[in-house]
Amino acid sequence: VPSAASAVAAGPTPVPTGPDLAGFDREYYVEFLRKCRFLLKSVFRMEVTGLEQLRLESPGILAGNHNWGLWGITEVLGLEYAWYHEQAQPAPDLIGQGGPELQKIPLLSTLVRRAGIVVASMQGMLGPLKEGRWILIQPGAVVDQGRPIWQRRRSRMKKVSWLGSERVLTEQLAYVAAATEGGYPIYPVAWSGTHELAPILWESTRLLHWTGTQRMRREENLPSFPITLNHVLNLAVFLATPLRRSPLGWVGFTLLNLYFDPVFAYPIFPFQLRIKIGAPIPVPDLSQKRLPLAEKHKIYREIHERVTHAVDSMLVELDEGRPWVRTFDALSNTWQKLRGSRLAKKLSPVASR
Amino acid sequence: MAVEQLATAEHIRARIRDYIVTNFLEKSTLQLDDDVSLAASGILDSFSVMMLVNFVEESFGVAIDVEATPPQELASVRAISSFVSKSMRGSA
Repeated sequence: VPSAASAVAAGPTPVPTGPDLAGFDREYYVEFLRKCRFLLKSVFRMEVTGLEQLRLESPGILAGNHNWGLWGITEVLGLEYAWYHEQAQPAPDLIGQGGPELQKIPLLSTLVRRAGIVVASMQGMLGPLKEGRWILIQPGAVVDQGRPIWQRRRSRMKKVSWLGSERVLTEQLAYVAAATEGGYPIYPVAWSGTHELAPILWESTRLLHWTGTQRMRREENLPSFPITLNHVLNLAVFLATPLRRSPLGWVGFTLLNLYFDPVFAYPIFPFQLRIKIGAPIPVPDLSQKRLPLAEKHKIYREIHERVTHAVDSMLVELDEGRPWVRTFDALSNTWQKLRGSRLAKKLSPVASR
Repeated sequence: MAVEQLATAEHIRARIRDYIVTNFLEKSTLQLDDDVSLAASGILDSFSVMMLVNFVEESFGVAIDVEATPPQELASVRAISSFVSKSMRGSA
């Protein structure tokens, strides 16, 4: 009987691992990215720094934060554009790791397969790494995407588990475990900008349950329901129309604002996509060592903390020098103070609990 | 004999539950029910399966062939502990 660990690494697991790399079409995807140049460079004014950190001779893992919703796709496109088109030497294949839902969205799923994005899993990382390919992963996935704009400089590379209606966020360590299977270095990556497009003001776990969104979108395993600036604007527009007098109008408004993403995620502000790649974080090769589990876990956590710290530091750097940041921070501080004030507690029974 | 088996089963369940709570829920104070679906609640993914299987092998001296193991055997704390008890009896 083979060891269970190697069996998990090499074979199917009880969780879906999705399609393999059979659909990967590098030539097509590199050309597709070339066509995205105008969008990335002119519309999103993308800036990528730190490419010189990459040591392309041997495989590694690019791991970083993830920002809000659909716009997170531009982060992946931006980095992959730079990967294939802006490096001094030909780049090896870069295999992305995504959620299982990506493989099911019409049209997008075709692109995802041709781009070499597989369902995130140990197998999905180890297979390509052993073949000399690189891995691109945003370990926080939807948990990171759901963080409010106030937390834009603090990544949330965690996984979510639900015990009934209670949310538990824990460190996402799978990519580190994969890296230790061959001593593959991890390059921290910070993505900044996309969260500004349709800012999340607040996240609500209660709303996620009450609306049934968690059940309906079980596969995505969402961490919360995002309340965005779009919701506020939508309400203002709705109240300015005669529809506000109709009960049916209210029903339609509510349904659209709860269940139809484009209604609360359309772009409000223009943003600049900034990407920074940090210095590689060395990872020990533990594949041949029989370490006790507790020790392995400790190593995974230490490396994950280093990656998180590097990503968060780069997020702060990317935000520095931006004209609106000071104003935003002042507003943010005032809001935080207000939330803690006695007046706010009196006004909001929810805040006081 | 039956009491002894019951005690062993409870012991296995407790150890597996503790391992999951300590390592995958970071010592959450919330109760992990023995029948909660580990996959549906988001606790079990390819990484936690690997760690959990390693833990079971290390702690109870049973070998688990993940490829040959039906997913329902790893569905909950109760299912895993029954599977471990069965494997231990089989290898005795």
